[in-house]
Amino acid sequence: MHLVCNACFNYSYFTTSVELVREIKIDNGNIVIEDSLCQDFNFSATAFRHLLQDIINYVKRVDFDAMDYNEDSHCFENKYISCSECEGKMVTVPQRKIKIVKPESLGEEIIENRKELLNLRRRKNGHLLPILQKHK
Amino acid sequence: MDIYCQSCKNTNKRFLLPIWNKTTFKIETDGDIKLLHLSPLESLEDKIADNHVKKDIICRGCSSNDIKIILNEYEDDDERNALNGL
Repeated sequence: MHLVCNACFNYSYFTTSVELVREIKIDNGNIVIEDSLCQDFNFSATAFRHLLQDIINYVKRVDFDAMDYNEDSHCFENKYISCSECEGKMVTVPQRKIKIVKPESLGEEIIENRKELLNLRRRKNGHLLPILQKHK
Repeated sequence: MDIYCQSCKNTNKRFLLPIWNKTTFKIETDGDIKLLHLSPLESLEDKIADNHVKKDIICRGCSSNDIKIILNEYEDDDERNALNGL
């Protein structure tokens, strides 16, 4: 789950506005609009997909900064992405991504992760330790 | 109608025009994005004819936006004078 609508709990279908670059040419006085192609590379489609991915990544990264307060509905709305199912704009990153139960202090967390640190040190410095040789 | 790039003299082809579109998409569980629908939010004709947004058109060859658009190449002084006379 990457984004969720807080009104209808849809997490799949969304709508946004993206700029699509098309190529125009004049043929016998008429405008012809087509995809911009460079040999086998479709610039229009690729640029469009990148822009769409950029918007989604931006909304996921900034999370609450992508929201704007709407005084009419008295709630925060996403400035970039809206829900396709309920047309609502309360689209956010799912908040359950944050681990709710956390150790109370830093010390507790460090003790809890002690084994992982030892494994890291073994991987990092294990080859520097003296090698015990068996007596024949 | 004719389009000229005043920087590299490119004429009538290889011009790029960005248009805002509304798109509906689906985010898959693995993060892939599926495009479902695309509809333009701007009128292409207005964008070409409107002087304010003419600078959005760029030449693909030299990336310049110094573009000149002649909407009706047959319009000459005689026709304009005749219309003014009416």
